[in-house]
Amino acid sequence: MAVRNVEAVKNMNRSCWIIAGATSAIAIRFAQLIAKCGDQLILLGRDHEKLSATQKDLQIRYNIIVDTISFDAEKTSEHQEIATRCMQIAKYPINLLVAFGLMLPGLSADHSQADVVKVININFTSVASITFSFLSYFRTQKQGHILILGSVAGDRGRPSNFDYGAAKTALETFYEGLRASLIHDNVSVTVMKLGYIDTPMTYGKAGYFLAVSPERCAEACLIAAENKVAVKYFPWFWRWIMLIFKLMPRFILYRIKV
Amino acid sequence: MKKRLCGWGRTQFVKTNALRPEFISDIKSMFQTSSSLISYGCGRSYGDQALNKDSTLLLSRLNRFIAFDAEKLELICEGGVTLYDIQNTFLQRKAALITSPGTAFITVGGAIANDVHGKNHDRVGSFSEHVLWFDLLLANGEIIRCSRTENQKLFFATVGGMGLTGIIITACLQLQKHPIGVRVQNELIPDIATMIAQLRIAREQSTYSVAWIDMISRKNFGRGILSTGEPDETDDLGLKKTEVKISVAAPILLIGKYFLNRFTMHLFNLLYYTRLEKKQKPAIQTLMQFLYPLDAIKNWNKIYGKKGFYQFQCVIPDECAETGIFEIINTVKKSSHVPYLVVLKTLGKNGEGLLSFPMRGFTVALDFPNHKDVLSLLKQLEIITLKYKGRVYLAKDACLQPEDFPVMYPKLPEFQIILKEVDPDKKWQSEMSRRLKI
Repeated sequence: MAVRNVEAVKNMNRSCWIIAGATSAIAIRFAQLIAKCGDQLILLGRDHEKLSATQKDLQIRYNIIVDTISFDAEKTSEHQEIATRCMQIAKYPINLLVAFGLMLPGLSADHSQADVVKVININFTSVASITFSFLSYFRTQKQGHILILGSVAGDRGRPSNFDYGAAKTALETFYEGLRASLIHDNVSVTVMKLGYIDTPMTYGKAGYFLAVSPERCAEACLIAAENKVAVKYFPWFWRWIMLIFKLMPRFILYRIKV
Repeated sequence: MKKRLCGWGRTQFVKTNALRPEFISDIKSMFQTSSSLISYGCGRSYGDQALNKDSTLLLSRLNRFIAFDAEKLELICEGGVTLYDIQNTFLQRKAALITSPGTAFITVGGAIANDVHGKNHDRVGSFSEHVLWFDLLLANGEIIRCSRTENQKLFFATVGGMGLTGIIITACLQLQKHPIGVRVQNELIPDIATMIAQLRIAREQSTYSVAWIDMISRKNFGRGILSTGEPDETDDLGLKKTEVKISVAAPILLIGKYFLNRFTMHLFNLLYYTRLEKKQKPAIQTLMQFLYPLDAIKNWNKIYGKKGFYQFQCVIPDECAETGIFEIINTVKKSSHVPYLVVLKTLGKNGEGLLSFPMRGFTVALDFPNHKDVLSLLKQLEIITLKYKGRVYLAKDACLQPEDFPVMYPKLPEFQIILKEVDPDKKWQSEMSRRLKI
């Protein structure tokens, strides 16, 4: 049965959500929804101060215990160990949200070589790495959701952020394959293709007037995951905007400044 | 980012460089780059208090709880936490703020900076009295702890200080045990003299008391409803649901221009009063419903249309409350302006802050649509307030004259001396501080 609102999630079986990049604006709202539903939470984040602030707030607000583990997306060699530690804490079948991302200011072509590598690594390599660290657990538990935050920037390469966009495109192909591989294990993989969300990443950008609150985004993410959707545009209209862009011949696309 | 901001009254707009920290650690790097700054929480100050055309620091995302001591009922939270968050979280655990104003959509920082008061001011005083300490970010980038014993001077300057001493980063609040329900008794009162007399009784007898006065009806001018409340333990009526449903007044917005006039408001009042006449028995409401009736419509300020509205709120000392309030009401009656919402309340004692609004007396708040010449009426009301040694509430103010301000707030020189010490370069400024020449 399709889940239409967050209230409906409350009545489902208990699970444990592991959130990588838990101090991002969307992840915080997502964690609040999970806490409200009464599910277990394990937060992974790099900045200790921010992670602990997020943890304390959730604990007081929802009267629950929240676990945190220090996690650096770039240090992929540590990911397997972090996954093992999560599994020791998890009391219920796990779900995974990967919510970290990096977009650097300025045009992509003006970025340094090191910056481009960093953007691609964080947005793609690290996401794939943390997911794969949990893969064996998903396969044995034979249930659960993997939720990835993609971007509409991945649909066409644009001068403003093609390094970021390319990593997001890669994610989509990667997780499409993963979804197909896990389909018999009853594990769903969802990629959210997000437009402008009111987070520090978009704050002050030209399209900010289109930005939707991270609260609503988090709700849409949770509902999409529970409904086992493969790819979902949010807000919905981006699906049609990006359709136009995808169909647009290059000679026109190159002349449009967006 | 450039953003257009306004006060709750929607009479003044500024285009400002709006900075928005997500975490406390983000603030420092932001505020050092900008010339002059003011903090902006929920935007519920009516006038120009939280506006600054240079730079504004939007603090709504610093809304985390930091610690809660369930035994002592002490809550430590970030300055951008709203009172709604606090009430909504803790009322289920039978704890609540000791006092709160008529809206929960204000931040803790804003509540301290305006030293806000509630319907139980006679009993418990204003908001800041229940603030144990706060951490203040000063203009030089330093964060210091202020309380009644530590950095005392700065504590009392910041209480009611309109955000001009610095940013309240975190605060420790004393909560109280409070049941979810309030037993509410509404009483119809025929005229203002009786109302004032009744309020004098109510302030001694009831925990909560507030009065609404009808100044639209010509026939029944001055009639009102006296609403008193007592915390109630009986937990029936499905009061377990503490969350207030918030609706957005979209349909009213569309017709707002045509909807809001003397005739429709009269009709609305008529319905309201006749309904009340039939049932004057006490009823149980949740604390949230009782304290925040207007919060049910999230953007009710937009009902007043494009031009917005002014709210005039002043306090008149107890000794001359009758004459003062009568003079205010008669002046309004003689003018062509009709206040759609009039609230009368008693205040218990003086606030602790140097620029705190409360003093023992009666406070009256009147909402005027921004029609032509309304400012001259507000000026008249200001003169009456001065005459009776009262003062205007800065949280609501948009047009007080700079020469009247020090008369109403005699501790201003003391405040200015402290400002010179902690902020010699005037880093913290608002449109209001410039207007009032603080």
